[in-house]
Order: sequence, then C-alpha cells, then structure tokens
Amino acid sequence: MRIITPDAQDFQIEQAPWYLPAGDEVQLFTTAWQAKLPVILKGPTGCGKTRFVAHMAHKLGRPLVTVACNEDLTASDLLGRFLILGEETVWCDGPLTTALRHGAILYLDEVVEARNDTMVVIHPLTDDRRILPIDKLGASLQAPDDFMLVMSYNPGYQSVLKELKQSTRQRFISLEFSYPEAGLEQKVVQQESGVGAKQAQSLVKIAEKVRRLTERGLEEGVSTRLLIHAGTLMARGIDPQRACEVSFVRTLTDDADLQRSIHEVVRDFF
Amino acid sequence: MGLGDRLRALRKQLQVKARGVGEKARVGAELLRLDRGTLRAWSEQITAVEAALGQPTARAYTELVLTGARKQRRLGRQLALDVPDNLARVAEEERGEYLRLMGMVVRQRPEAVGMVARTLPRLMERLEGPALAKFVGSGLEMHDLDAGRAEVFLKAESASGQKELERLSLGLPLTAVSRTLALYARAHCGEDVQIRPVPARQGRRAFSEGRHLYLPERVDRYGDERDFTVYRVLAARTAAYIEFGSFELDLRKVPGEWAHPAHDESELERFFRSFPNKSLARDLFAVVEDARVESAMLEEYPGLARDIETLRPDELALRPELEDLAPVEAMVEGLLQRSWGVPSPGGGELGEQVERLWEQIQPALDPLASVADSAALVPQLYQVADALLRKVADEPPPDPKEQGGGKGKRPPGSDGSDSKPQKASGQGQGGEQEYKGLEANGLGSAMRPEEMSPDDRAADEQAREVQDAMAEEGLDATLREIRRAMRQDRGGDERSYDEMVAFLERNPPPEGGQVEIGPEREAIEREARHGGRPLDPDADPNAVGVIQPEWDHGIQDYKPAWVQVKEHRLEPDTGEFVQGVLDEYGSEIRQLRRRFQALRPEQLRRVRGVVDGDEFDLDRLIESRVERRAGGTPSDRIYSRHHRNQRDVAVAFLVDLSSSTNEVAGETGKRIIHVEKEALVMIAEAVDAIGDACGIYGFSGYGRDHVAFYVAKDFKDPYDDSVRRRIGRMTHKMENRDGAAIRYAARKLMAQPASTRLLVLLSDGRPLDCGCDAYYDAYAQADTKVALRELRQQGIHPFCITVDPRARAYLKEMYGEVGFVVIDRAETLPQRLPAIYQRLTR
Repeated sequence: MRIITPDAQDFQIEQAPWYLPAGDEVQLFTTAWQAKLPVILKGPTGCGKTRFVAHMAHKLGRPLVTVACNEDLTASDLLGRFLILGEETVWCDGPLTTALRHGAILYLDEVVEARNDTMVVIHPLTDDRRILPIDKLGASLQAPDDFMLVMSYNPGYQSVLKELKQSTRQRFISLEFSYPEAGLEQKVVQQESGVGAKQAQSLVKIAEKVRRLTERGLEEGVSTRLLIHAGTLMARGIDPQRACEVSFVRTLTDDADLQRSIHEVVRDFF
Repeated sequence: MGLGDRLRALRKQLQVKARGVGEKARVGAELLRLDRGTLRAWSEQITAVEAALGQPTARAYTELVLTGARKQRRLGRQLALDVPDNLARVAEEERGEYLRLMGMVVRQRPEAVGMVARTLPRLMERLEGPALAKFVGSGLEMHDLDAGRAEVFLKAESASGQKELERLSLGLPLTAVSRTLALYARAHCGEDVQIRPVPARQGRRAFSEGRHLYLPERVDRYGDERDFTVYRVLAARTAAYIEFGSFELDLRKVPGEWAHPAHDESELERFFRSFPNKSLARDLFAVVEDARVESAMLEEYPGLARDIETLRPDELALRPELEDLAPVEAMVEGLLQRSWGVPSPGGGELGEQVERLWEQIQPALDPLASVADSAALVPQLYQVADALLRKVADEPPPDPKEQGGGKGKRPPGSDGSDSKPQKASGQGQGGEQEYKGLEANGLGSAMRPEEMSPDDRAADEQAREVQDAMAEEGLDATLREIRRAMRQDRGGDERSYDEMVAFLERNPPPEGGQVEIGPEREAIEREARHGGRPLDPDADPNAVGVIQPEWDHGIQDYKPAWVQVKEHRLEPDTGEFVQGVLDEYGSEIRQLRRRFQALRPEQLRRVRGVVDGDEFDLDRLIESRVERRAGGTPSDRIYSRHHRNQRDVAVAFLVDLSSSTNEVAGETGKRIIHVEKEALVMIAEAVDAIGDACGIYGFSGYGRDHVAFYVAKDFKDPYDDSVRRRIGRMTHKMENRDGAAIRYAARKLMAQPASTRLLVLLSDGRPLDCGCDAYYDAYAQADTKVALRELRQQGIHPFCITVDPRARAYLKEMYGEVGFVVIDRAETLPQRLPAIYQRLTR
C-alpha cells in the first residue's frame, strides 16, 4: 500500500521571520527542543506566539507543521486517512504523522478549541516513549529526535467547556507570553507596520492605557497585532484617529461607554 | 483751600484703618472730582463691603463704581448703592464674575445697570460662563426695545426667557458621562479612581484629594460638544495629579526644614503649615505644581493640547483682571497666567517680575521633575512674595516703582528670634490677613488634600510608616505602590468600605435610623416571633448565604460583598395546582411534547456521502466500484462521518415572586403568579421533551441581606410529578432584587457543562427592593442591566420576558442590550413561552 506524505519542503520556512525576544524564551525553547520536551505557549491573542514558533522553526532549521484547532477536528484529521486513488487505496498522512516523519515542529494553534477526546492521541508522544500508534495502519511510529510538539492557548477566554484537561496540560512545559514591554512593542509596531517611531510610540502608549481597562468590562486588551494593523493603515496615509477607530476601538467592544473611553484615550495622543 | 489741603483733609476724614488708606484716598479724590453724591454713597458702603466681602471684592467694587462714575455721574451713585446688596447674594467664588458682567453692562448699556444688578444673582445660580454672558446679552438687546420686557426676560419669568434659560442651562450632566470619564481616567492613571460630583459646599470647581475626581454636576458652558471637552479636560487634569504624583510629596526629599509631622495630616498639608502664611504657600505651590503637571501631561498626551488650547481663552476670561488685585495677589495670579501662556502678564514692572519668577520655576517643568522639585521652588518664591507683602503693609501709600522684590531680606524661618524655627516671628498674622489669595475667589488649587476622608488619611499614614521603615532598610517605594500592595493584602477591603460609605452618604437611612417596616412584614415578623418559625414558610433556616457584589450606578462601580443570597428548596405542594393545569391544558401539553420531541436531535448523527470522513460509506463505495467497472465516472462521495449532537443547551428559568405578581392578569381573573406557574409547567414539559438541561427557580426577599432564591427544579432533578408540585408551591412573596437573583442563577448555569447556556427571566419589569438600602428606579435598573451584561460576558444568553401590560419606557434601557419581549396579555404566557423558547434555541 502506498503512503502519501506531504513533502518536507512544503513546511520549510525560507525567510527568517522577524522576532524580538522579550526574555529567555528563545533559549528555553531551544533547550526544550534539544531535551525533547513538549511546550505550551500561553498568552493573549495577537501577542506574537505564532510568530515566535515560526522564528524558532527557522532558527532550528526544522519544518513547521501548523494545525489551527477547532471543534470539528478529529483524531483522523490529525493522524491521516485512507483515500482511494484510481485502482489503489492509499494512506494519506495527517499533519501529526507528517510532522513526525519529517522530524518537524508540530504547532497546534489555539488548542483549547479542539475537543479533549481528540487531544488524547498526542499523549503517547508527550512522554518518554515518544511514539505515535496509528491503529488503522497497525503501526506505531517512533518520533525522531528533531520532532517537537508545541501547542498554544489563550487563557484569557477560558470557559468551563474550553479548559485544557490537566492530563494533557501536565505533559508540557509552559512559556508564558504577554504583550511586549513598551520599548520592545514600539520596535515591533514600527518594524511590522512601517509607521514612524513617534507614532509607534503613541500607539504603544494607547495600548498600555487601554489594557488597564480589562477588568472593567473589556474582555481582552488591545493586541500587538491590532496595533500593527492601526500602524499599517497610518503608514499608508489614513488619519491616525480613524485608523485606531477601525483597527481596535470598534473591534474590542460593543459597549458604547467603553468605546467612547477608548476613543478619548486615542484622542489624547493623536 | 488748595487741592493739596483738601486731599489731606479728605484723607483724615476717610481714615478708618491704617492699611489701604492711600488707595482709598486716591479713589476718594477722583470721586470727589467726578460726583459728590457717588463719593457719599461709596464711602457709606465701602467699609461694610470690605468687612463682609473681603478686600479683593471691595477693590473690584470700587473699580466698578469708578468706571460708572467716569461714564455718567448718576451711574456711579446707582452702582455704589445697588451693587453691594446684590453682590452679597452671589456665591463667594462667583462675585468676580458678577462684577465683570456688571462692568460689561456699564460699558455697553449703562441704562440697564439697575435691572441687571437686580436680576443677575438669581441667574448666576443657574448659568455660568459664556452661557450666562449670552443670556445677559440677549436681555440687553431686548432692553433697547422695551425695558420692561427685558427685565421680565432676565428674571426668566417670561416664556421666552424661560425657554432660553432652559436651553442654555440644560448642559451636559455628569451622570451621562461619568462612566466614560471614569474608564478614561482609569486608563490614564492606572488607579482605580472614582468620579464623584463636587459637593455643594465646594462650589463648582473640579478637584481631587488624591483618591477621587470631583467634577461639577453639569457643564453648560457652551451648550454643544465642547461641554464634553470641558469634562474631558477636567478629568484629565485632576487624574494627572494622581498620575504624575502631585499627592506623593515626600518632604525628606525637599531640602529645608519642615514643620513636625502632625497626626492625620498629609504631607502636602504639613508642607503648607511650614510657612507662616499658609494660603500664600499653597497658592505658590499650586501655580508651580500645576505648571509642572500640565507640562508633563502635554508631553505625554500631545492630543490633549488641542483641547486645552480650545478652552483656554474662555478659562483665561474667567481669571481676575490683574489691576483689580493687590500687588502680591497680582504677582501670584500673573505667574499663573504666565504658566498659561500669557507673556509678561500685566505688563510693566509686574510683567517683568513675573517673567523673572517664571524663569526661576523652569526646573519644575523638566520632564523628569517630580512634586519634590515643585515644592523645593516654593521657599524662594515665598520669600519674594513675603517681602512684597511686608512692603505693602509697612508703607501705606503704595509706590509701584518700589515693587521690585527679590531682595528677600527676611526669608521665612531665618529671623532666629523665635524658638520655633519654622515660624517667622511676629509677621505671620499680618501676612495672613493681607493675602486673601486665589482661594478667596474660588480660583485656587484643584488639589485639595484637606478633603481626604479620615480612612484615606489613616491608610496614607500607614503607608508612610511602611515607607519610613523601608527607607531605613535602604529601599525606595512610592506611597502609591505601597498603598496598592496594602490594598491587595487586605483583599480589597478598603475599597469596599470606601464605597459603602459613599453609598450611605447618598442614601441616608430613614429618620431615627430605623428600618421602615410595612404592615405586611410586621405581621409576618410578629408571627415569626410568636410561633418561633422563620419569616417565610418556604425559607430554609439552615440555608447558607452567598455574598455577591452589586452595581451602584451612583458611583458607577461595584460594591463588592454587598448582597446576601440564600437558596431555599421548595417542598412539593398537595398537587392541586398541577391537577388544575393538566385539566385545563392536558391536550395542549401532549401536542407540545410531540412538537418538541421532533426537535430532539440524535446523539450522534452519521452524515453519509461526503468527500472525506472517518469511515467509508459502504453502499456508496460499492456503487462507486461498480460504476468504475462499468466504465463510467465514479462519484468520490464515498465517506461517512459522525456529527456530534449540536444541541447542547442548559436553560434556567428565573421567575420573579414579588408581591406585585399577586395582581390579577387581564380578564381571566387569574393572578399573574398563577399564569406564570402555568407557563412554567408548560415549558418544563417542552424542555423535557426536547432533552435540554433545565432549572426552574424563583426569587424574592427583602433588603440586601435577605435575597431568597427558591428552587423548584435544579438541573440535576429529573422532571417528574414532584417538580410539578414544587412549581405549584411557588407563591408571591415580598420584593424583587433582580440583579442579585440573576447573578445567582448565573452561578447555577455556569456549573452546567453545556455549550449553550440560556437564562430566561420572567418578571413584571420593575426591580424593586426597599429594604433600608433602597433598591428601586434608576439604581435597580442599572444593577439589573449590569447583571445581564455580566451574564453575556460569561457566555450566557439572557432573555427577559415581561408581563407588564403597561410597557414602560425604561425596559428598553434596562433590557435593551439583551433580548427581551413584552407580553401585553399575561394570560397568553402559557402558550407564548414554549414558542419563544423554540425560537430562541432554533
């Protein structure tokens, strides 16, 4: 029987993704990779988790296989399935199997979105056995040394339903991410959006103020990603107030009073 | 007798006190030249004016009389006689404004002076700033045509006057913007500041004592969007004191010797007390510190500069004229105006002196300067001012050429003649009397450490002790950091206490401090005392209270740990009610069950014939093979996959059991509570048929300590006859504190492992609980609205059903953020409720 595995080349990251380390995360991640430990990246949306993984994959020279998790994700979506091609029946590797075969970094993005029973398939990979049993093939794959399992999740919008099971969680080391500190975030916004230093600084200051409102009805503070969006619009000639308005004032909340407050904070800077 | 002799005689005649005589003599001389009658009237009044209204006001009054007399002889006399009494009716801080407006009238329409002088005090109670000027302007224009009509207009007695007044005084109320401003200020300074209205005794000036922002109750300066800008700038300025640490003065970091710390005194107050003339020190500090904070603010928030710029001309117009002020006051005021961008205010000698002082305070404007740098500059300014003060006091006829200042012969505390080094000997009282300062005009500092509450003071003192202890260890921390750490230690107690105080201040208990007890309650309580039974037969005496927060719209914030909710499980009743329902609705219930059973999804549904899936769909696979063998084009839809049950709903029905549900609904003769119970049985049948998890609860109670939450069916209970009989047990009770019950029901729902959670609130739309802490109208509606908003944030979908036949306007305000429906005929509820539920969960 033929087995189809997508080419490792497809997952290779050619261009080095730009990333500014905020602390010791690069060193920790590298060490974890060498020590064959799986990693959880915890942090709010849009703070640079995905970028960090891409950066590390490039740095370590490994292919990066990304799965955006959702409720309909099944075990066979991850492992692979039989397909009929013409006369023959072939096995087509899923992303997990593919990553294993190539010794890649498998990145399960927003892992809490997947159902807990699906996530059980990764358990044997996360202890010292490092194997992946595939029942349908009647085989068990041994993970190569280069293979690494990384998951990300956002503790900000945890509900009772979307909680990572302790049995899954306790297999990983956790790298905590938050929005970068002001100087760093300014550099990131500047670099990614092409906006000037002064305006990038203002955007970051606005973000700092708005994030103080998270206990006051704001579900999540403004992300670095949204700041970059605002900066991008500004760099292309959109009026700063308007750019902030559409990039995050309207996006963050539907509460009219809160919107007005955020709008006034923006006005203080532009 | 020559002019010189007459002047000398006059000087003697007018000599009342030693001070200020020179100036009075000059005025007297001029009045004598202009009009004897004015002189007589003025000299009769001036002593009383000085005594009652203070020197600066008296000077401005004199100036006004002079202006009038120069224009027309009679006008001077009229002003001298009419103005003092009317002036006394005006609030202290607004007298300057009164005199300025009178000045305007004298210049523009001298003939209307008497009328305006009479009507203005009343008007000033309702209007201020440009709106006031506008209104008076309209009155003056009218005066040209018809003097009588104009007076009626200005008294706001005529319809057009009232309408205009209404329009101009409407303005922007603080309550409309306080949440926005509080969030804005919190974002700014990162502290949990609250916005409060300026207490009545404080006039209308915004200020902060370091914990709260006190803003005027309404702003009606412009009558357009700029009024919001006024609020915004006020909030930004007062919050900036907190953000940039104006209240964090640490005198150990300011060179010099300072008064001994006193009990319950803030460091700022101690600093002011270190000077013989506290008012002067306070004003000088305020000018420097305001300049520092503003420059820091503009550096940090460039966008704010635009708003400040917009408002500045009008703010400057509210400041007193420099020539109306005594020399030292003119100097302080000039310095303030200089800091607002007026170059060399007052011109001439004064202008030069102000420029010199302005140079001196530049160090405080450095972006890295702190409040200690501002404080460090005060002694040298004080020296200059004090020297000037002494010079004015010592030499009765003022000679403006001598007012150079800056020599500072006797700086405070350097005489050495007194045992206390901080007190300048023997000069204190003289200075104190002479210098009224900006405060007298109500235009002083917006930093008011003296307004701090005793608790905040105590907390501050504790924080300072910690700071001292840390300093000995060589550690450095600001008071703010320490306070925050202390607050966290105590689990936010301080704040909750603070908020309770605020709440109680606004809602004083009924007279005598007794809780009012209605006749019904009294009867129950009497019964309870005699029979030894609990107040409510359904109440479980062993129920454990759950403490919950509540939203107070007055402070626009939560009062944590404010409400106690107890859960009581209803006992099944005799079954009479259920029998009645089954008799009446039997066939409908059977229909309903069939209809809802059809909606019940299978646990796992297999979808066949898809292009990819977990398993082969054997039939399709064979078909496809056959097709291939036959040479046709096979379908690739040969897989099947499992779809999980998508319907995963938990619903809680929450019924208001307040006494108002005892009213009769429509023409059926049934009471609202009865109809609601019938509807509950119907919906329980329907939900049971569809298979959703369901809880049925009622609520009532009285006061914030006695919110009762009754359980007819908990989520874990199977739907059976005992549930129906428990529903039958529901009766009308006392009050309804909707917010508390909603929050408690949310706890129940959140414990359910469902992907969709729904809360259906059945009420008469009037949250009402008049315990000793009244829960009604705006307060209750706001709390209900916020409670529903919390639910949405937790991912629960609230839906409100109201059976109030008189659909009220506030429903939209209260329920508008969530779905709601008003059922005008309560008796239709048993049919409507299942239909609504079906639509909601479609």
